[in-house]
Amino acid sequence: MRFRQAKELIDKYLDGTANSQERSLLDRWYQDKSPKGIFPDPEELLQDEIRSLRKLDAYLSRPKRVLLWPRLVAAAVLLLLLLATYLISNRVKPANENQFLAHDVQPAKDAATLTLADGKKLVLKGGAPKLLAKQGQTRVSTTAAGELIYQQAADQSTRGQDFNTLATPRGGQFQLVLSDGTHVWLNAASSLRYPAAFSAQNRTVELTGEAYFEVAHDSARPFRIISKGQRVDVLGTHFNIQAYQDESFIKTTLVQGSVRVTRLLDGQAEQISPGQALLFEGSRFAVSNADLREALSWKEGYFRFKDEKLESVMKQISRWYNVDIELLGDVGTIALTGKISRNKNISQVLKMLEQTGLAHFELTERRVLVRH
Amino acid sequence: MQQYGQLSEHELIEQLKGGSGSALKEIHRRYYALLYTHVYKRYPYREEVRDIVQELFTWLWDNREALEIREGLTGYLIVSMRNRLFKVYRHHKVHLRYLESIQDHIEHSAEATDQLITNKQLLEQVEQEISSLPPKMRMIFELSRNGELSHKEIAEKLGLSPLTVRTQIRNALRILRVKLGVKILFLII
Repeated sequence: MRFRQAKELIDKYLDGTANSQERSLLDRWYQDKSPKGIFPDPEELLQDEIRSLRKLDAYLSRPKRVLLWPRLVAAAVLLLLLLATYLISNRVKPANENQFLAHDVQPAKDAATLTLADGKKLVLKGGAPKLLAKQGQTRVSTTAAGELIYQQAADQSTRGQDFNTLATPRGGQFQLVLSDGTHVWLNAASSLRYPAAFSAQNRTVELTGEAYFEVAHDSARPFRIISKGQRVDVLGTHFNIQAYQDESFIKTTLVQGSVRVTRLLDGQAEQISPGQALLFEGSRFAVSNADLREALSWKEGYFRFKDEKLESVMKQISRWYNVDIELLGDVGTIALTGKISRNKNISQVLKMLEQTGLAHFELTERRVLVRH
Repeated sequence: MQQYGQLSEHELIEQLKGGSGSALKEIHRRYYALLYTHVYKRYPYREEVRDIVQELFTWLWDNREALEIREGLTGYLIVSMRNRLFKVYRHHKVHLRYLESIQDHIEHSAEATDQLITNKQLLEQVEQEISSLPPKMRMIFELSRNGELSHKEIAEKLGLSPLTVRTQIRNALRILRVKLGVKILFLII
């Protein structure tokens, strides 16, 4: 056999059985003696790099292999059907189709998980009115309008004890009426923790994510919202709080009434008036005039952006459509202004964003890639 | 969402181990050209270089949980590349000059030396290779490693590929945007 020694040496080297002398023999060859050619052509390298990244992307998002025969057969049949449908529909439809349709995602629906005081979890989907549970003397039910509602009985011996948590997933939202009549709109990927019946002293809830509150007036029991290191004290009023864990700020926007926002760390507090917003970011604690339409647009069924960074725009899309987002390079810093209905499928939203020409979007299975 | 470009090597590895595809792609962005060049210099066959480097990245992904990277990512990747190249030399039926050269090396080096080649020396060689790159290649390196420009922009900057109509429109929009000092609005539906 030609080059037997060379082959044996490589084998030993690779399976780790070579001794140090043998290793160094091959290392020295690699370092000093291996035939070294020329540099690759820059343009070819660049082409290969881009192609390679695409391949890698495809590899990362490939479906997991399932080795069960019935599933394989079923998948093959489905694939054929899809292919047939695709071919037929391609023939019928005009060519200017939306490129994002293949992996389209519907907008968020009424969906949430309710965790009762005893840890029991209920999946809520809106729909028919139904009595879900009793927490102490409080009835917990869903209404025909799809809200979750707490109704207190006269006997209030267990007030302030049974804590419930309502959590929406990405791609879900829910409305809630607390035992005091306070109405809460919970945006996607958010959660609210509250007692089934408030105590006689105060009404305290904890929020992560975003919610709009219409607090029922009760001057004897202040309403408090604790979120990410800040506390909002209110009497009765309408306002929005945005306190997502994956954002660096908390924004409290007041529509009506008055609220006092306290930074829990050092007790610094600010009072804000209707039409104002308080931004709490890092050590900054700043009051400004708010764009109410922008702050409340989510509740009215719109995405509304005003000179907003694409990164933040995509975060909202991520929560609403339950998709992962990836921003390539510094594309997230592009600023956008505009308004889009939240009732559209993601394909239409992306198509519109694509039409700005500011960035390009690729939609794969629940993933959006954004690049220049 | 994170800016992967700003992560340290260590953080990137941790993220990769935790199953972050974005971390893998960031590693790809930082190291692809380097690894490609390293392999190409020692095996100047484009198609195969492409496959060898690609396989390393898919291997990294498939084995991410078991990775033990102690002495820096560059060293780890280069050593992985070296081992892969040895495998190619070992099994290739056509390009035999590598085996021939190794055989020759075995027969003629005798036991002349017991000095060990360390990974550090290998890395020094890599650094030296980078510094001796042709100017255009170096620019690609700098630009892509520092992560400030997208590939497309680099290609445009270096005049490497023809501009598409689409790109021109995009550029026009960008210029317009700067001139007007506003961010272009998108349509309302």
